[in-house]
Amino acid sequence: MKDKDKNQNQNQNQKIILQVSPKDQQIAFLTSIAIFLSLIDAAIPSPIPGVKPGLANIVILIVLNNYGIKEAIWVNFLRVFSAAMLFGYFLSPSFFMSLSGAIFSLIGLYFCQKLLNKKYFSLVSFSIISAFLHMFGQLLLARLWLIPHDGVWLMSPLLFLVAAIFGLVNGIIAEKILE
Amino acid sequence: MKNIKNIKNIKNIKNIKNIKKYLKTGDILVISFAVMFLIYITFLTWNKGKIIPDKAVIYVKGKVFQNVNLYEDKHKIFTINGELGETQIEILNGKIRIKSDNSNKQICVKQGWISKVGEIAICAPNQISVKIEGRSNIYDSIVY
Repeated sequence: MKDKDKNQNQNQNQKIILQVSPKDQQIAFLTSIAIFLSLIDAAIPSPIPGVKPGLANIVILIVLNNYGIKEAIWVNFLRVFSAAMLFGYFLSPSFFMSLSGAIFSLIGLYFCQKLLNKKYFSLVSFSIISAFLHMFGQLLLARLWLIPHDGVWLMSPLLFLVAAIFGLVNGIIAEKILE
Repeated sequence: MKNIKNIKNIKNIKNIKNIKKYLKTGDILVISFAVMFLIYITFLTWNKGKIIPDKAVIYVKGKVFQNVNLYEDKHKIFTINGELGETQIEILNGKIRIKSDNSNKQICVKQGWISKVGEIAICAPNQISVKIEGRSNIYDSIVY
């Protein structure tokens, strides 16, 4: 209690009030859910190393639907950076793979939102396109930087199949949540 | 037992119908595009074995030692002397393999038959490697 009074006295001279709008709080809350889903992602074992269900993309889709592409970009990048720092792979190849996947999928989502009419295309198509671009972005980074050998593309049929399946599942989950 | 099976069948049908509720017409378009893309990319990347392998090149100590035509003899076994000892190489029906080797781990022997362009069998201790090269080699050089 005494410390609080002291701080208040000190702060009265320099008041910096952070205005947090309710929208900011909503987005922060959704970002934290996305980070939590990233954790669950990492915990799920997968036969192919590095291939994850991408559950955090459900949150990205919901943010895109409710708020817009700018907020979706914010949430995605915040999620990538925060998860990397929390789980200790910041600036490691894993982080850059995540980042390149996020960049490509967000570019795809931007064009999807501009071009695809919401009446005929639900979030499932957004999710599938985003998943494919995510996988492509990661393969591209792997080809250019991590494994400079054309053999990387040999994995693509399998990886894109997984991306298609999980894109579909994530899209359906997102649609179900938004009902 | 039959009652349980009936209930399970009904649940499965309900699940599929529930999923279809969330899909709009455009989604089915995207899904079919995705399937077509998958088939296309499978043919694009996993089809390279169709290039006719021309010859197998045997490298000893990093230098080209011998070019072997895979289709000359139906069955041929020959020996090459390397660092540690002898390596036996066998050709059969257009495929080549390292039959026996002096190494500890026997990795090159365990690899078995190679026949597609670009496939390599490397005996690291003996410094002997066999590589398949074909007429239309896609990659001019591979940098590791």
